Amino acid sequence: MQVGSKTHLKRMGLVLVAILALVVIGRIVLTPGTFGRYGHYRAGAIDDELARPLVHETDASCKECHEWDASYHSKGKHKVVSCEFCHGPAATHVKDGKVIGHLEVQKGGDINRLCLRCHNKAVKARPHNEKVIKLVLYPDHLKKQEVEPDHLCNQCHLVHAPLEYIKMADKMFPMLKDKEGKNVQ
Amino acid sequence: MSSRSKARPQVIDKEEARRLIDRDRRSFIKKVLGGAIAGSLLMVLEAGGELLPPEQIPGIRGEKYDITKRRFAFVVDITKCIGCGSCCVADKREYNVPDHFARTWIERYLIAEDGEVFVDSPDGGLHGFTPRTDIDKPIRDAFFVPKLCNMCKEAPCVQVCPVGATFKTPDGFVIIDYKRCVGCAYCVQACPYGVRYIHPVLHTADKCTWCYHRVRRGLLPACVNACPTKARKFGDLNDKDSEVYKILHGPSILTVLKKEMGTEPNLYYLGARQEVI
Repeated sequence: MQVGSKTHLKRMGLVLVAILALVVIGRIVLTPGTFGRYGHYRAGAIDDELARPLVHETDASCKECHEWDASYHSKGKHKVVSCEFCHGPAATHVKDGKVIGHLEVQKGGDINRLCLRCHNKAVKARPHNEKVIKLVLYPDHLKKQEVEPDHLCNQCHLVHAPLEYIKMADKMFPMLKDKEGKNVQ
Repeated sequence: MSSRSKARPQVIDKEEARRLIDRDRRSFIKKVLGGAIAGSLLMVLEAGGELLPPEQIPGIRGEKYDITKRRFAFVVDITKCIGCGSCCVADKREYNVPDHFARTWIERYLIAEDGEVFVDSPDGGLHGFTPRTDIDKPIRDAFFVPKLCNMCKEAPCVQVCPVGATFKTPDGFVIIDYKRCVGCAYCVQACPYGVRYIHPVLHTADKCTWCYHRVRRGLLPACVNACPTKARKFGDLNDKDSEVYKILHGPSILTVLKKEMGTEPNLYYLGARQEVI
């Protein structure tokens, strides 16, 4: 090698420039287009999340077709219970305005299980506030109301408006209640 | 229209009649064309969107959504939670959450007279609660505590993610980029509230998002709609008519979980006892 030659320096410089170029190109190619729009993340992920389809809708969606059911559901004590909780989500029933499947209707023993999910007094942690939830002991409630022990909740309580029939009966037979509203023999 | 407002003469000559017809024809064509254009535009707009139920959070639809000008908060009222598990059911269905995992769950707290605390959450409260028979101590206080993502302002999960797959959106939601997440579970360890889990099918982290996809469509989170006692409340703090604004700016005593961690949650509890962690 001749003294004073700078070829090795030039070669080293070229290699360095090539590496730098590769890094820059790699960075441009590999970084997602929306990266850094709002912060150190891919902003496109927000749109991905927004594209998630709705499964549940609202009670208002149910009302569009089931107006009659909604009319008395919205007046009773159970207006706060969403339709979809008992019957299943709207996405399995309607798509683009067309019926694609039928939702379940709770029957038999399932009715009691469903009612006791909220109203079982034996689960001690529930708030003892009549305005929040009316609690009953099961099957003591059946005994107290003097009905058969195998009665289902929905034989007295209309599930969509639980006090509808009770109120109707009270109106028809006022002599069965004393002044404090308790049943008389 | 001027032709309508002017009283028409009973007898008109030919010229006058032609003039009237011409003017009406012009306005008729104008109206038809206008209607047709508006109608076809509507059809185009309809086709692009989806059929949605009426808006539940005011001001989300309509004008362009400004992602930087929103401040959402979640309030859970413990004095109203009856532990029915409706929220867990709604949540599981909305996201098809795999069995034995939960994005939101309910804990049952029983506090004995001597101060001992019993906490349980059978299957996250998905199937409701049955009476607990294994405690023979007298209980002085009992209540349910629904848990979900705290949407921390200083989120530890965001800080630790090595690939930037979990982040805080400008409108305050901590969400996950499922395409970037490598499933290292560092965030699962970092979350002080235990809301994260590794999804057994996706093999990525997953957690409650306060139903971001519903909120941006103007609908309340699925669990809020499902809650029969309105123990769960959600809303925009910039909207002074929203229930959460009124609660947060009212006299109620609000607490956040693990305040000493400095995570600054956006999830507030009403009526939480000091034993709640």
